[in-house]
Amino acid sequence: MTEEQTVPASGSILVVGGGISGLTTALEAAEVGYEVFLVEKNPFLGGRVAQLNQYFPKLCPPTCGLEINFRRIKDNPRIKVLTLAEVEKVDGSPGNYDVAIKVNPRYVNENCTCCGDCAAASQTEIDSEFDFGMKKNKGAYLPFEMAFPSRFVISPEIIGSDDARRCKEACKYDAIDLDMAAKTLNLNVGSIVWATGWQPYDATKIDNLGFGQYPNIITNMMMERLAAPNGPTRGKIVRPSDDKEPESVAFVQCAGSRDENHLPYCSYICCMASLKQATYIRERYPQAKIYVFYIDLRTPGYRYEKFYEKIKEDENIFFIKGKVAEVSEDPANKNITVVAENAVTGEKIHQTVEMVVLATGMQPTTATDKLPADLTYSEDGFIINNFENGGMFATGCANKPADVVSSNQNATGMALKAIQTLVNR
Amino acid sequence: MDKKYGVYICEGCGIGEALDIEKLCDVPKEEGLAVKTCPVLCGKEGVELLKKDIADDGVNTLVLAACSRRVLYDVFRFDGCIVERVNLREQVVWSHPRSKYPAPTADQKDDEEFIDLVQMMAEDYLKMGMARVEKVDLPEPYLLDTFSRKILVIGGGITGISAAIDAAKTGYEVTIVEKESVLGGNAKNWRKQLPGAYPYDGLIRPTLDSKIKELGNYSRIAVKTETVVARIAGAPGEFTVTFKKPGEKTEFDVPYPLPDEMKVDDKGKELTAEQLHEKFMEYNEGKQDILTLDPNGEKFGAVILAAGWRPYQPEEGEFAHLGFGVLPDVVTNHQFEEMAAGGQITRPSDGQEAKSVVFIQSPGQGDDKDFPYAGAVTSLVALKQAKYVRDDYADGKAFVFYQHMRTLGLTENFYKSIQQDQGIFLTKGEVTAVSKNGDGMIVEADNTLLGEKIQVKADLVVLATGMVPVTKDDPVVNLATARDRDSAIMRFLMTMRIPILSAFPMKPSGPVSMPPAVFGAA
Repeated sequence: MTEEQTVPASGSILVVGGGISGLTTALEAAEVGYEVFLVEKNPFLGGRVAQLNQYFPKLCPPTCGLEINFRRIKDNPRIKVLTLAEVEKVDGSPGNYDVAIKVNPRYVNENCTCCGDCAAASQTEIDSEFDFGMKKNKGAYLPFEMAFPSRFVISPEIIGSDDARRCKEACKYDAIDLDMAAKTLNLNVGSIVWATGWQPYDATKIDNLGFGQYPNIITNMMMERLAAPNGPTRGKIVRPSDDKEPESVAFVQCAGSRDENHLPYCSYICCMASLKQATYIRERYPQAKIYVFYIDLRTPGYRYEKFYEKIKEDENIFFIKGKVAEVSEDPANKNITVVAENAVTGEKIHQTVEMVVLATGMQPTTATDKLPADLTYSEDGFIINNFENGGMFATGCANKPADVVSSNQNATGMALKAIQTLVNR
Repeated sequence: MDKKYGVYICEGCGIGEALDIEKLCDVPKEEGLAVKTCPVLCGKEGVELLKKDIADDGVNTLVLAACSRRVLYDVFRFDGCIVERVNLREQVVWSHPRSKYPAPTADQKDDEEFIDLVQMMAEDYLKMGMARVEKVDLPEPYLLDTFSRKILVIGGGITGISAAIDAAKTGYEVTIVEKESVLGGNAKNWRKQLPGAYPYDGLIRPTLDSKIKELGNYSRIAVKTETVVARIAGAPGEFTVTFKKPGEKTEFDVPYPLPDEMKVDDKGKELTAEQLHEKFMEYNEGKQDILTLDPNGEKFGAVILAAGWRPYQPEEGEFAHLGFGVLPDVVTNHQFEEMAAGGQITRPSDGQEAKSVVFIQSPGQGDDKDFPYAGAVTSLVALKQAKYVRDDYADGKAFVFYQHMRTLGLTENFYKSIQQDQGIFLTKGEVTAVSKNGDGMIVEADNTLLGEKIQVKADLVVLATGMVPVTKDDPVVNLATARDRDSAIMRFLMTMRIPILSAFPMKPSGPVSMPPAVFGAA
């Protein structure tokens, strides 16, 4: 085989965040031939996408798309995955960064066969963050069925307790090491891509929308977990107060987004998320009434627009242009009344439903946790890219609110930018 | 390779308790294959056993009856060996627990008629695994004789230029082909450009000129203007590309499939295969068949399609209810942009100043849909163009009627900055009619935020028509494949309207916005 011109692939890239953006950047760069370190603070990869029931553009369950990416990782020796790991320190300049990475203990070593005996032995129950507290994890747990890497993890909360000892004793494979300690790795890399992603905006901060006050008001991410077959209800959409199958559901758009008191920007995904979730409800409850309260429906592009067109054909889905101002609960039956002002007619609309979904927006994780590197942030906490400087780049929702498709496009581009830093060193 | 088989059965994770391992071992034994069991195959001892057999006995084809291939993939990776994972754990033992499917009793075990379904399932899976390794060979990479790392970019608009610059920055040789005589594409005709970076709150100067200038800094980039692709033959990593002048006919034009009307005879009867072939040859006379490589063609490893878009052309009378095609001062956003780029905003009818401009986002008629091919951009374009009116005339007024203001993500910042402009009126509403009123026009709208029915005097009306991908009219890439409009790839291109194509071998990647894709070199 002859090659007309070769660009030598040498140097390492650090990708911080193992969600869909970080996975994409890591894989694209590694498949061009570069060594990649993929650092993820959770014990599993997949990020927010892993929590979804289905995701755009093709409404696949995340196990589909993520599994393809995991498969690519498994086959690629150039990618080193570090879970439970966080960047502690970054020194240096483009082309030459010294990075300190703290790897937190999993307390489970490579002997783990994923048999589950430790979880069966544990008597502790801890709220599952992955399921927004709607489900309990044992002290030893697999984050979710298709978690990658597929290895159990012991919650730090039980370390030093009898429960930890019970888990250890239950393991037939000598896979539990309760003495495991955090360690620091020092890496030298040429460029860094920050794919630190987003978190759902804290809905309890939106005083007028009753989240945390009335049980039958949930967030859109909670709805994803309810609809997911590996979620707390095994895919049954039921309202939290009494597990009733809802006959009517209201979606409150821009819950926190496009609001100077909360997130001043548009969170990009919530309109499509609610339309998608309307299909979750419709699949399960053919007669349920669905009300969508919105300011503008933002369904960008050919395919999303088509999706909206299809939803519009459903005569039991009602679109109301109006911002929800308040909610109240009937203490007797726990139903919720949503009050909105119709933006066009000005009339007040009162709609009583059995369950409300707040289409809460996305906030960059860097809004609350700044990174230990020389980065610039917008007022809202997104990382601003400086292509003149190069070397470090933010991608996906660390940079701006975006859907999976745009995040992947952007993440591919940032892999290229990272490679350019190495090539031109 | 000469296969030397080894079957290994794991007894861990409940497999040993649920199954009769001895009986399971009979399955490979009956076929004359060596079989070993291990309490924990993935443990140190198990892996040592496997490694030893590979090293000492030359076992190179392993059937591992243990857990799912999804787990412990790294533990059971043995380079140069065929490894088949038979999933006894998840697919048999865990999904068919003995609590639900009880193990056979002593009596049942003696009963020859009795069938233990769980055991049988395990045995079947093992047989399947054994059959599979008999059939498979280790994959061998397909190596090309020549491997080109040159990249072809089709389209010299802002996307193609950006792609070329970023590829060149990464060290690749790039050729841009552009069908027009100059680079720039649609962006040539813009007065200003939408914000593409933080803080996303104001219009910026068009970046095209500086991009074209930057292009000149790279000796790795070649530009061919007034050139199109006649044919792309070969495969990723070794494409042979024939260029030609637009409109030119060459022997390396891609053969075209027969149009439907040529597939039938005079009486409308379908032609036979031979007749079809004859017609096809006649129809494509003078063209080389798809397997003939152009000896003068240029080699490329990957192709980026950046053919871009053209403005939507309304059909005759399509938006007559909005005065388009009827009143001279009703224009599309594209026509408006050209006018704005050329100078002051005026009325086409008489050249007078257009100080009151109405922007219509949706054709209305009871539907909240935007104009066809609106994409995600026409809302932003209307806001941009409303700003032009204000820039040109201190007392100018712009009205934007929309159904949904689509300023996604951080472009909301731009929307908010426009809302601060006292001379720009933004309202939801359905425009019902545009009619002549003296020198100007009257625009009537329903269900607006300003009132149920309102009328606005306008000097100019602008329709937010969309962007049609160039690939809708012309495949542009002209791949030398069996090109049939019904073929999967063409259907994909036509229906998804996705600009295709990238990639070195084994590395498909999707369409990308700026900055462009990175290419995997295998």
